[in-house]
Amino acid sequence: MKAKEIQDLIDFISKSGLDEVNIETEEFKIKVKKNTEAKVVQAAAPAPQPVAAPAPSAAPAETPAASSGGGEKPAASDDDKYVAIKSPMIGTFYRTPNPDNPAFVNVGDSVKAGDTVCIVEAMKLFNEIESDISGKIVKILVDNATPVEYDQPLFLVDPS
Amino acid sequence: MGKQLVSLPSCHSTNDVMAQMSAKNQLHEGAIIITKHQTKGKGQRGNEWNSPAGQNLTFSIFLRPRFLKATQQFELNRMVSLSLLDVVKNFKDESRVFVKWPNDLILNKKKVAGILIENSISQNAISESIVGIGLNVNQTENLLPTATSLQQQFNKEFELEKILLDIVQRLEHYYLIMRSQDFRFIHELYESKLYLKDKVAYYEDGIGKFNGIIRKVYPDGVLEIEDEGGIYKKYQFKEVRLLS
Repeated sequence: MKAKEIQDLIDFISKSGLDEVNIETEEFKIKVKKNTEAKVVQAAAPAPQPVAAPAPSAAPAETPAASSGGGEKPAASDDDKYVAIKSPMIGTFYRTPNPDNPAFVNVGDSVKAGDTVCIVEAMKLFNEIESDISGKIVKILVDNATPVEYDQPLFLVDPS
Repeated sequence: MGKQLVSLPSCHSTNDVMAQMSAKNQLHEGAIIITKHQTKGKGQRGNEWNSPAGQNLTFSIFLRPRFLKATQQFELNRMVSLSLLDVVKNFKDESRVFVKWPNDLILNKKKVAGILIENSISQNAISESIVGIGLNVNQTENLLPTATSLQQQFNKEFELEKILLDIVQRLEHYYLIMRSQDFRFIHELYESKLYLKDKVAYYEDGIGKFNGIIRKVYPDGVLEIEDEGGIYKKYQFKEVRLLS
């Protein structure tokens, strides 16, 4: 059976009002079942997505210092020549080591690869995030003590 | 672990001393810093962990778990809380010792130990981890109503050095399992010892208060609670709180 035929069959069944169809011939056996409702134990009402826990953003594990390329295309805006330091996890972003301490870095500061730039707290673990690049901090993209997503840009760094 | 042992009569915070020594490259993996009197112990960001002199265990362990990606950091919570649980459950009655998500040790419904883990993340891996542990051992006075100690529960005095050795031995045990990248066993164990799992309790989240049942903890540490309507909700730490 060709992929197209299977697709047609599924289309047909989905319009048919049937919940489940089993077809068996000498050549093949196919079972198509509509996803009527996720069969969660005891779930009475269809579950709306809870507010909590934002899902991690799509694009997994893009190399941290990806967009540095340079040269290929003329910089459309200033931001193009900057490199982002991204959050390696979901958590809460802190700019200071402790509530009463000064920030790790401020706009205009120079950082070296390996310098701590912030803390991301996740699940009661405190993570000092090190910069993977050297350069000058040109922008801080997230407010202190606010939630961050996986791979969300935190700082823009001018590597030149 | 524990081959390098720094014992201080008193200090602000063993985690802070450890971070300073680490910055000067003075530490081997497995190093321990312990103090009889921690004067400014750290709890959650800005909170303090107070402990009277000489009665409890307050120490930090230094690890380099580079084999863990930043997103796998919850394994450290599992490993450390299970180590403490193993030691405490040895004294009596395993059925009263639990891990309260994410990493408190609960003995007879009260908190007996706290953990504060501070990591350094470099190139998406955990390059260093400072694991601070506070275990209430022989303290019997001025305990918070929600806290307890081993002596209070078992009516006898404990030898701090002996308990420290037991904990270190269990940490080493779980650390080696983790290093072999076999997390399933640790996940199952953690979940089997999870406080209030599959039991109805009263919680509060960003929307309000509700009766709920803890159903599972995801590999990354996210907690799942089923509410009375049968809806499953997922939480990061601080997004939900146990009320009862």
